[in-house]
Formats: sequence, structure tokens, C-alpha cells
Amino acid sequence: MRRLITETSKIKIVNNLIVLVLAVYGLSQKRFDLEEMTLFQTLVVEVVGPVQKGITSGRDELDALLENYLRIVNTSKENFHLKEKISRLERDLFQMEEIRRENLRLKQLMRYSEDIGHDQLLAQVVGWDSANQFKVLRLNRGEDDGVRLMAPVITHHGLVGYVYRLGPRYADVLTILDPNNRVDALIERTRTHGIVEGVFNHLCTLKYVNRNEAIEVGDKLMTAGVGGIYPKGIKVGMVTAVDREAAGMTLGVEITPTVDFHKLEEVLVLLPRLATTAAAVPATPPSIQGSP
Amino acid sequence: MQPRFARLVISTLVTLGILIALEIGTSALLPALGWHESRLAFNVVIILFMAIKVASPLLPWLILALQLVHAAFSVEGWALGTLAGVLISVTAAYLKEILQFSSVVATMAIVQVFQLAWWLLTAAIICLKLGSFEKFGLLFINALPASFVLSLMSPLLFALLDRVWAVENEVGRTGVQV
Repeated sequence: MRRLITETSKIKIVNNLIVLVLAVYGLSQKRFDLEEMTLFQTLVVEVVGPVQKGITSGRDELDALLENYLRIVNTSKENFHLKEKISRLERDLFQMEEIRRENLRLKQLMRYSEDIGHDQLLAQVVGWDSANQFKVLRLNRGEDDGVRLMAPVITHHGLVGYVYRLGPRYADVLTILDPNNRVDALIERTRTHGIVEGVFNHLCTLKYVNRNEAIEVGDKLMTAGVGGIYPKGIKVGMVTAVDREAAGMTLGVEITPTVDFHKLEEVLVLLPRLATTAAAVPATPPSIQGSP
Repeated sequence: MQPRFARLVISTLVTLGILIALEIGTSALLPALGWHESRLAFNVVIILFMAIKVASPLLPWLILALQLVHAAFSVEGWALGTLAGVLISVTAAYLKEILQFSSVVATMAIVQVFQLAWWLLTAAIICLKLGSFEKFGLLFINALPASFVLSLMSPLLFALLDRVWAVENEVGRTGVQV
């Protein structure tokens, strides 16, 4: 019996060690700024992607369902049928209003995209990263649709992030809210350069800005076009706080992104113009601006 | 030996199915309902359950399998959670005798304590990887709200997983042998 227990313990220790070594190796190879999707991940994403897409697409119906449920709970039996009819009409109206709003959003997006000077691909947000430490969203477009790794993702409000991981029909986007995504940005008024980094809670910080710079609350930021990922001139955010009290040579600048990530539904993936595709997107990008 | 192994495989597959359903919920359903503030890391609670209640020599591999599935839903990848999960499972194995799941509150408290250890560990590993501990506090604090919600939900999830792994029928709170 003792021999059996000892052998089981030995197997446990060996298994723990093997998996720990594998995990440490995996972690050493892991990049938080760019990743290739493995065959297994592609398989899982291809299977669950349509479910995520279905749920996200059903958002309007879900909203209407919840709204209707809350309303119907307190109705009396006498006017039940009447209420039901009203709720059906309201749901139709709600859906019409949603379609109108979607139409408006798409028009704004398409109008904005004409000025960018890139080919664009419209994509829908179908899911968010399930871990708290990372601010990543999943799009319903992938390699088959022409999406490339590190392609910038925007809306008409401004910068969203870049394509971090790519499957045949889905792409994961590392948003500017993620601390691993660093954007070389420029303050529009003073032309001051800095690096925008995510700090969670839907805020960013502007780093490496000299204390003597005359930055003010309300200043607007745009991409500087340095680093080879983002084109110049895309809106990034607005200065919402400047900390001149902190010690050190640089300013503490809080940035609120112009994109409302709570309300993000459709985005544009920027693609290189077809004629310059091969030259513009190397198979293995040499570096990412400010990547860890 | 064979029936035990067959049950292990079935329980693992069911657990992976539960994880996939919960991951879809947290990555698509909750954001669709307007919950954007924090994500519920169900993989952590499931791994904690297995670390505490499943006494199998194959446990590290089961943790690896769960993290491989989780990696399809998160850029966190499989390695970070596997490392944290195995280290916590080793700790839990030593503490198994003193862990008493006698009440709902006790379950919530134990899960919360282990989650705190998990988030401290993963925040430290991420900071090591990034080469800077500047965001250590933010990484840790950011995980706290969702961890409280998960602790509140943990008795329900543990009850479900108890059934999947047939824990109560065999050896009660000291862990199932597979």
C-alpha cells in the first residue's frame, strides 16, 4: 500500500514538473503584443465564433425581450392582451429605431473611411476577451476576408487598436485600452510626442512627455504615424487630467479615448491598398512601436 | 482501472463543455447585455475546484486542457493560467486537510482566498514578462470586482462540478480519487 502511495506521489510530482516546465516555456515564448493562432485555437474559435456572433447579433432582440419582460411583469390580467400588442408594436419600433441608428453609424463610418487613404473592411464586434488583464475584442472578419496581422482598426470616432491574432474568419484586436498596446501619439495643438498606454477602466495615459510641455486639459491627441502600424492623423483621445505635482522628469497625463468602447458595435479594419499590399505588410513584422 | 479512467475522460469533457458555455457567456452574452466593466474568469474557479477537490495524478494535465480551451477566448494564452493553476493546486494539496467546505460562506471564503493568490501570482508573472512592476497594482485591483462576484457564484458552480466529478458520493470533501 505504502509502495502504491509513493508511486502515485511520484507520478504526481513528475506530472507537475512536466506541466510546470511546459508552462514556463510557453510563457517565455508568449508575446502580449502579437500572436499566431494555433490549429487548436482556430478550431475552437471557428466552432464558438458563430455562437458569439449569434449572441451579439441577437442583442437587439435580447434588449427588447428584457424590456418587454420588465414591463409585462406588473400588468394585470385585464389588459394583458392589450399590453402584449403594445409591446409588440414597441418592439417593432425599437427594431426600426435600431436599424435607423445602425444605418447612421455605418454611413458615418463609410464617410470617414473615404478620407483615410486605405482600403477598409467593415467588421462587427462579436466578443470580448474573457480575462480581466487584457482588453481585446473579437471581430467577425478574418484572414479569408483579407484581414492582416497588425492591421489598424478604427471607427469614425477614432482609434480602436490593431489586429493581434488572426483566424480564417475571426480576428482578435488588441485595443488601445490594453497596457500591451502602445501608440505613438501627437498632441494636435502643441505637436508634442508621447506614448499612449492603456490603464484599464477605459482610460489611457500619455507617457514620456517632458514636464515643460504646455499641455492642457481638453487637448486632442492623434496618431503620429511613427512605428509602421497606424497611419498618421487618426484621433486617439482627449487630455482629461494633467498631473504636474508628481516627482520625475515627465508629466502624468490622463487620456480619455475618443472611442466609447462600451458602445462599440461596428469597426473598420484598415488594409493596405491592393497595389502595395506585398510591400506594406511583411510576413513577419520587424518590430512594434514601443512593444515590451 | 479502466472505468476510473473512462469517468475521468467523461468528467473532463463535461467540464470543458461547461467552461466553453461560461466563456461564451462572459465574452459575448454579458457584453451584449451592457456589462463591460470586468470579465468573470470562470476558468479560475473551475481550476480551483479541481485543485481542491480532484485528487488525480493527471491534475496538471487537466489544468493544461482547461487553459488550452480558455486560450481560444483570451489573449492571456494557456501558459500563464497553467503555471498559476499548477502552483496553486500544489499548495491546495498541502492544505486539503484544513479546507472545510462545510457551508456556503466557507466555500465563498476559500474560493476568494485562492482567487486572491491567483491574481497576485498572475499579476506578478505578467509584470515579470513585461519587465516592469509599474502596473502590478492595477492588474491586481482590476481583477478584484469580478473575483468577488465569482466567489458569490462559487457554491453554485462547485455544486454543479461536484455532480460532474461525483465528489460527494465517494470521499466527500477530501477529494475524489480518479
